[in-house]
Amino acid sequence: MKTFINKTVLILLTFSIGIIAFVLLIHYTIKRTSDFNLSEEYKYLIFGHSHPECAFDDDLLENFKNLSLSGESYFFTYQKVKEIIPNNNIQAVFIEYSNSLIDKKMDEWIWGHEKMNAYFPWHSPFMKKDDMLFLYEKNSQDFLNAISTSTRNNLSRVLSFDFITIEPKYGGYKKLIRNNIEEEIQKLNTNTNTPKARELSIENLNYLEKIINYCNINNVKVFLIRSPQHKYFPRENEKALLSLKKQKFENLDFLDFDKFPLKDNQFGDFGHINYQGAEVFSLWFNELIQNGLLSINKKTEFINKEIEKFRTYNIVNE
Amino acid sequence: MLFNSIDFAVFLPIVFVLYWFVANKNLKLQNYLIVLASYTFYGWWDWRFLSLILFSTIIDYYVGRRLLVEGNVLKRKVLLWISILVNLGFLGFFKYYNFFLDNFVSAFSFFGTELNANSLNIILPVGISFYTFQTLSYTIDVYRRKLEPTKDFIAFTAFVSFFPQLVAGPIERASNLLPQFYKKRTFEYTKAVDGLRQILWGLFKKIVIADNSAQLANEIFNNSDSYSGSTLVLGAIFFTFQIYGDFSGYSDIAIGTSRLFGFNLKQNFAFPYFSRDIAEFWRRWHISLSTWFRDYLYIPLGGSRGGTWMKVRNTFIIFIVSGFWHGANWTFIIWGALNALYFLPLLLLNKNRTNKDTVAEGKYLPSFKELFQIGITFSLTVLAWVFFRAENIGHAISYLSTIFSSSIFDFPKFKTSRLFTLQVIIMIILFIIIEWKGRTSEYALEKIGFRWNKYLRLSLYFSIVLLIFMFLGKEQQFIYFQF
Repeated sequence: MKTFINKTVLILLTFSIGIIAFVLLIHYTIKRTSDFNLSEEYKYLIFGHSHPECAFDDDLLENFKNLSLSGESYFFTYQKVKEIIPNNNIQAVFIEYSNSLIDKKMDEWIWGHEKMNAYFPWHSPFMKKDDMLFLYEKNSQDFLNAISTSTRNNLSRVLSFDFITIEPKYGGYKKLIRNNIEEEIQKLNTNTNTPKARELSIENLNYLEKIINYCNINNVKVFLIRSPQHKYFPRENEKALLSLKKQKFENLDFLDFDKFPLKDNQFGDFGHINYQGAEVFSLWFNELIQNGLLSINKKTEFINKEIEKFRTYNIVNE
Repeated sequence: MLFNSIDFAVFLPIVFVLYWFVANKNLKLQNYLIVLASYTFYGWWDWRFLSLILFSTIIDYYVGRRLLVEGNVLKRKVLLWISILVNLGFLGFFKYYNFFLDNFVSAFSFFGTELNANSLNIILPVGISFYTFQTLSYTIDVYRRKLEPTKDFIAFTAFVSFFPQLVAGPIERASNLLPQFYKKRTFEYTKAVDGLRQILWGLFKKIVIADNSAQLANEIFNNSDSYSGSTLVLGAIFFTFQIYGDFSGYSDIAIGTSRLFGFNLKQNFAFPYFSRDIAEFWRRWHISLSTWFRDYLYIPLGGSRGGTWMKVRNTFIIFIVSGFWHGANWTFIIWGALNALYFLPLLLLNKNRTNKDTVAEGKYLPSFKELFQIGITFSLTVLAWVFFRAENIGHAISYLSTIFSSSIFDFPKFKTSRLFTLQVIIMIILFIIIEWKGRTSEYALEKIGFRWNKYLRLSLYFSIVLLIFMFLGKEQQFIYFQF
């Protein structure tokens, strides 16, 4: 009996150590073989979730690389920023700052089962201990699952020599084909619920601050942006969004394109513009940059004036 | 408490240590500890339903005792029927009440009479179908004078509630399990090691094969309207491995756990997907249930004695009842009937006992003929599982219609990531290879690596543990808990 228990405990211990060693080895291999170098032409990076992912067609933007990714919270953007900035000569980053990214649901996007399993494996080999502990404290069981998924996916990468590179899975412009605006408006008409004020995700905002601090330390300029959203997109936390900007990020420029005038057929849904909208918006945005948006002082006024000009031009031409 | 949970990982060593270090000198104490552990195990899920198990236990113990002394045939029958009615009464109420009510109302509505009856919001007690059948077998065997009724109430309580197999079987016969509670168990090193090995294999089946196949099967079954026939075939195959991995995995963990405590349970799955015909499949799938129905339903109905009509009738009855045992839904009844249809030609041609040996015994690979037979049997099984998995008959028919459409020639595509799908397919292939290699044993891993160097064998076990770790997902309940 004692032999059985001793041997079982010994085997369990050995196997546990073996598993830990295996996990570390896989993560180390990925760390050594990953490549985060971007082409030198890129001076500006765009980060955020699906809104900028669908809005900024970087083929139409000079020196820009769109690295936004659907479903990505600031926590995972922070990991991405830390991996990319030191390896490239980046002048400025544009970070989406919008209603959904400050919402409480972002907590789920950081440590919820689905999102953690989807994004953690990409960043786990490079993640710092504090961030790992943060996830563990928030959701220990799913964190352990995410470690498993991470080991499995990274092992597959090692075996197939498909190491982590920025292209094509790390984010990028997504050409959205659909147009569901009519259906969404119909749904809106049948929905009689009054919108309630939403709580904020303090943790996600903390990670936005970390991104900003990290960029500042590395002499990379940060701009907050908001991609165009349909007029019916829910903005219950608009006040909070603007007051937080004032309180926490006062020194940063906020390039707000929320009300950029696009037609209904240029939206995929209320939150996302489709490829038609992306083409119009990206060309316009590129022109704005070429006209010196980043160097002038009163950016908000300049943007509003340009938006107005664009609106008038469109009305005249219709 | 789930076998694949942290709770169980803590519970099992505690019970093990108490059992062998504290209660090892006293048989009564060992049995008391098993009862306590079993009731804790079950109560972890919902303590209120412990009363049902206790009630069934008391009734059957009492009926057993009375059957011993009662000589009057009529009174003996009455006693037997008390046990049957109480046990099946609970089962009927908790599992089938709403089904019968809904169908009754629909039937009246079909003939133009509207009945006003409301369904009840009934929670199905976990494992009720399993322990009900186990305790019923005791009463019936005592009634038939095939078994001496027990005088030891604690041993009987431990037999009914034995935690490794309480909620999802194997459904043990009193003649096999109950006498093991009368004898003091002594620790056997090789038996315990074998138990651990079987638990390991069960966890691999459940966590790596079943839970991961489930993610793919669920995606495809839940969105079957938007996928091609070829994708739906893949969905049905994933479910085929999900249900096998899930249920036989549970049985392996149950049998392995029992071995740790010095008990021997009977084999419940004998590599059914390598069967060469449906009759062989049913001798190898959920053996404890099939034999239960054979002994307590099929044979009393006349079995294969009598004319052709009798044989056909009894075959349909046993398969349909077996289907209905799985759940209160027409899909399970159709699944049972479909299997009866598959079985019928073999029965009528008197070929239902042809393949009683293990396929390709002593050979590395099957012959072409055997491979073809296995392929046909597997395909028929996959098709039948569509009914088992579908939400309702309409869903199953539309699923099968899409399979048998021209879209079966499209390349299968579905939402889940390609990398994950590929990983699961590789695991299934590995699983089939190991199962094939170990098909003559009681469970696949039993003898694999026995002639290897000790370190090589440990490396094999480590690889399995590593795969379990890498494929660990969200804790998933076992499918058969709902039955």
